Amino acid sequence: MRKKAILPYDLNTYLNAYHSIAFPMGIVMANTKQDIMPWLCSKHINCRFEPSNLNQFSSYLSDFWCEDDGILIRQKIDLFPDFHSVIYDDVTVLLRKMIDMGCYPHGPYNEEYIPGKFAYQKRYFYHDYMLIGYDDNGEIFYSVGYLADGKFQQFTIPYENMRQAIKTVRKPRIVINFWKYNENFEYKLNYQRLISELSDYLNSVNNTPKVSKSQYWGIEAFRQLANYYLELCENGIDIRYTRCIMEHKFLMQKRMSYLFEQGYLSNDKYLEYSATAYKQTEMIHLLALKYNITLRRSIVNSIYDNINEILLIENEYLPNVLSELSNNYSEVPV
Amino acid sequence: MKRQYYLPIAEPQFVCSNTSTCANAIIIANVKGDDLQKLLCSKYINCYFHNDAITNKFVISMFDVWCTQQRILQYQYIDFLKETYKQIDPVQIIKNCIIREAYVLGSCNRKYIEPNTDENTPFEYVIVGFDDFSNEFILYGVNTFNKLERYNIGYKEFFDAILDIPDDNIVFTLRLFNKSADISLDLKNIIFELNDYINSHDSRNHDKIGKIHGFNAIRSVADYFMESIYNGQKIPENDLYKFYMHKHFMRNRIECLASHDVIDKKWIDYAVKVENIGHSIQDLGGKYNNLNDKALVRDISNDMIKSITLEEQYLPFVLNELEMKSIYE
Repeated sequence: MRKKAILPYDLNTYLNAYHSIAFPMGIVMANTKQDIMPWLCSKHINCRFEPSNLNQFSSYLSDFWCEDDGILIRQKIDLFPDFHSVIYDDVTVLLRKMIDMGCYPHGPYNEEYIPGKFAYQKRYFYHDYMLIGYDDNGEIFYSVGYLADGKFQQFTIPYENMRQAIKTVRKPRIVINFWKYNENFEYKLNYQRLISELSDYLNSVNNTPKVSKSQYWGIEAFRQLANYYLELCENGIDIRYTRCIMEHKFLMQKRMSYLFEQGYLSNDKYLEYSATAYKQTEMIHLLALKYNITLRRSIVNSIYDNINEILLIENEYLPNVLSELSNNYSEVPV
Repeated sequence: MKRQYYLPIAEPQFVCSNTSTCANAIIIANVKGDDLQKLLCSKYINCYFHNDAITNKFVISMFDVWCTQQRILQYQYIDFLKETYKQIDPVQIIKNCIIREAYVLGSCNRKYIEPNTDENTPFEYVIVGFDDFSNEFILYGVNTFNKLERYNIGYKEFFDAILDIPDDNIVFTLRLFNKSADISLDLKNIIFELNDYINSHDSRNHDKIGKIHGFNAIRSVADYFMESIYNGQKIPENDLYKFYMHKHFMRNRIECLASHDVIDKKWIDYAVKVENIGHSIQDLGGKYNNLNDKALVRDISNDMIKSITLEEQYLPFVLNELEMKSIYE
């Protein structure tokens, strides 16, 4: 019998700059009826800048698939390409079966076979995907991600294209993860982690275990990103980074609101500071888009100034936030 | 279509922990002659003594027993929740893996495999074949008597056995013998491990609490044997066996390295002497356990000291020659 199934997914997540963060966040936001802010409050606080990395700037945490927290449960196959057929002759049958069981298939594929992608029918491009559904009638999968137009969206992939996209991955082994949402998870504030991450951010260090190495952390990562823009972006600005800055400050604003509403913070000035910082990042993102069209040098200078203004604002209020949170630590049930 | 399919498995040289025993049995079945000697040359070099352990106080280091780094037995895995296997047939998956010549390893409930035991303890298996005519898998695992044993288990019983474990997930690890692997002497690893052994160190593991490595581990084993005897306890036969096997593997290693002109042949005599001491200690320990004759205590003690002294006399030179060869190459 021909079937159709689509799993819940929220396209308007708080963090969409990277697939690896947007995918799990979209699952979480679509599946829960609870307020996720208590949990999110202690996540994505620190950030990193690594000049040698393909994704140089990101808000970073060790458990971005929320697996250690227990929100998403992972199942996984890690097989040679010719071993995929040990489960089913056709890999799309496995993908559909797992979707039927409420699991989101996720892994690497070759975007050369994916309609709508920048690399489609042009060149091999190794990237990550996540499927959220399928329709046997049209023989298509439903997926989410960025397409060539630069928008994070839902799109479809014909079964045959999906087969080719997985089959042509140039790696000795091909991994497919199947993520299942844990209905029983309770979103609570991890106060200790909140303090530790905020302290790391302000001190430009990283004490989170299991996080890959990076040259710059926290406030210093922002400073280095500003320098990088000033010196090295003659061919255009990677707008994922400016989106990432914007999302980082958006979340910081939400964090301050939540902590104030819940009585963890007493000074409402923090809300103003964080709102101003977020507004500046909206400006930075627009400037980056403008720069990519005009390549006018003065725009880069403005971006540099704006980032440094944000850092001044944060230096003004975040140490006080940390101090107040730390002072209240003994009174908060851990 | 009904089928039967079997992958080769051999008598292991060394029965120890389940994983290393199965690895040893599969490697011996697939790699022959000089290639096998070359491969085992970089295994089982270092050792440690763990006084806090209740059993298995003396352990031979098991670094990369599957030779994954050398791409000899390649590694893949399938990890699904139990509930998923109710939708995706695990029997067919395992059969398909075996047909593609991959050994299937995993863990199940022991009471389904060894019917005489009531224990709900984990049993680590390696599936080497299946028979559709009798609807059975052929698997191997180390039994409660520390022997690698063959078991035939029905498809349905096997499914019950893998479901009846505390974990939520069932993981099948696949080991595929790489027929085109380049088997050569892994001098880098031999040097690394031998250096640790001589210097009573373990550079690979961070979990060193309560563990004494290398030469000092052998000294601790000697003290522990003596202490057991003076306290009127028996010497654990498994520790005597491992002590002997450690010296046996060292003799094989030295012979193999000398036969490939990597080190001087004169070191073989030392290795043979130490191996003989290991054998003698195993015999004396066995005798002591049977007769409880404390007169044997002095002989065991002397032999232990002698084995350490001999190794101290020749292994640093072997290491030096290996390092020179490695730099030259």
